[in-house]
Amino acid sequence: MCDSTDSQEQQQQQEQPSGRKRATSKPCIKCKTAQPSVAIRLSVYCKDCFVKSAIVKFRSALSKSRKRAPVSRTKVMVALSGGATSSAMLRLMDDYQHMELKGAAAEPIYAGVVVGHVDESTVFSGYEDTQICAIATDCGVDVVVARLEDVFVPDSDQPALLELVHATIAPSASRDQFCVQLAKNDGATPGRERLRALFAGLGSATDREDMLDILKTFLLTRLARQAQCELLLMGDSGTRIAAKLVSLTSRGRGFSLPLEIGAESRLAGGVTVYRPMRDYIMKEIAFFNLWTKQRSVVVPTFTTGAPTTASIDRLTEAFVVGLDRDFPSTVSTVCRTVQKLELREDALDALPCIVCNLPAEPNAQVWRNRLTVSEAPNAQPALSNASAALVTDVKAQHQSPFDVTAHLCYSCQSLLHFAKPGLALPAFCFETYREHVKTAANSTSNDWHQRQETLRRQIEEFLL
Amino acid sequence: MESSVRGSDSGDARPVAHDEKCLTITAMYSGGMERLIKDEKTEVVHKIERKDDSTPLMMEEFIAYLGKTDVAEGKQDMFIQENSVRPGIMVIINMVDWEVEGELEYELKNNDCVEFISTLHGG
Repeated sequence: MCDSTDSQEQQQQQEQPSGRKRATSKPCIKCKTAQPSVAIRLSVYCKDCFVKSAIVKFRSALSKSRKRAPVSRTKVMVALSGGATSSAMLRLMDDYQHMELKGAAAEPIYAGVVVGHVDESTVFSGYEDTQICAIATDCGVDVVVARLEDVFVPDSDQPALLELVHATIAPSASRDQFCVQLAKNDGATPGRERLRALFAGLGSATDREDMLDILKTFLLTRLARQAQCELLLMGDSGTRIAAKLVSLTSRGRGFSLPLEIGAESRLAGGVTVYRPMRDYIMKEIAFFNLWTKQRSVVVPTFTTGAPTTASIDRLTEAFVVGLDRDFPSTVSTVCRTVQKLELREDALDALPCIVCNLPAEPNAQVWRNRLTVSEAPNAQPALSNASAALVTDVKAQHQSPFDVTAHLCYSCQSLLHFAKPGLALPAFCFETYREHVKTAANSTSNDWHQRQETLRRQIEEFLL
Repeated sequence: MESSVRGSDSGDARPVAHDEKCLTITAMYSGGMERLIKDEKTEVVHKIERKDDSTPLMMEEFIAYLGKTDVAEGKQDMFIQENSVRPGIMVIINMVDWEVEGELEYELKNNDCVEFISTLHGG
């Protein structure tokens, strides 16, 4: 099917005169009879064939994954922001879940479908909460909602937050340093205020959008775990994935990139993320919603209504969308490249960054040093015993600052570099940090020293 | 659709049924587009007088016209880019993709409905 479509596309491309486009005289490429209603990548479809092919595309996207893992007892969470792509995804998922009900041995494909939604009303005004819930109830599925400020809900075990004291990275600093101190999180400051302070304290719109993404991903994966969903469907369209590839790379997220935009990625906590909308460009989604009367809302971000230069995300989006208008295969070409990306082996067992919770490349500083001029770092273990003790006993020494540079990925270091001192990081940052400390404490001795010792023994005979 | 475009080319099927030289065209805005429009309207009905009945109203001219009449002050750049709409804004003429209809070279007819849907900012 693909081959025939491609050859037809090429044919049409050749026939099309350069410059302005003219009204097409060809019938729909599927049924060959009806008048076309939409042009997707130079192929024209009638309304019925277009909607049908959109449904088939979704089914085949999920069926491919189904072959790899039995799903009859798997629960799925559909992440719904209320925007065009996620609303279309919910509609298509609802169709997929029930497609075999028409047959004789009718059973839903997955054990259950739940909608997970993150309420952003604390940060954005004009937020249409009731409408978003209505989109979910249209499909007759349960909705679980988390609020953005939930990331500051105190942890009952050890209620503490990491508070940034100062952040200095090269070239101005001789050594990168991200010093934090522990602050009590006893609920005295409401989560809403902490959340607003978090966004206000970040340096730029790009950083704010980055942080918003991190918070939403964290909340959605937590919602999925709480609802016992092994699968989480994220509504990233092909257009979005192409733009994200460029913007995430430019923000230094190359190491964890396949996890953030791949078709299937397994995140920490045992939740697998699928991105079934990656095969659709935004235009297909807009027409699908238009013709199936699927409701959606406008999901605001920090740069809604701002010029394209307001953030890296906006700029890359404008770049990709602009290219795609003149060269209609841009998005699909970029997406095919994304498919080939794989995680590096050392990323599989790398410790997660305490902010974004994605694998952090060890020695992000070495990377930065290659790009900038700074002094060589002093050889010292990543985690001193002092800070280990500090975390195990928060109440005793919560005032003295400690360095968390080794626990931050390259990109999150850039994110925090321009943040205001005194910025309180979400509660999960402290939890991940505590996990790191426990892991380090549990290992028999410090890894770094052990490696040095092994190396020394190996080359001992050759030493003069 | 196709026949009507050709018809107006040949001259015999030019929209003459309506009242003299006045075209009634509805412009609709959604997907966030409405935020660029004066008073955030989602639907604006335009009555456009044509001085010369023989020159059809082309899409290119209509978009420039909307940029002056409907789009809020200072937001024209977010609607228009190089005599067309900004990439990422879908244009739908009578429920049909404008790319099928000839984009900027489409000749507007009386009672046409042109819908603008923004697909920017993801979804």
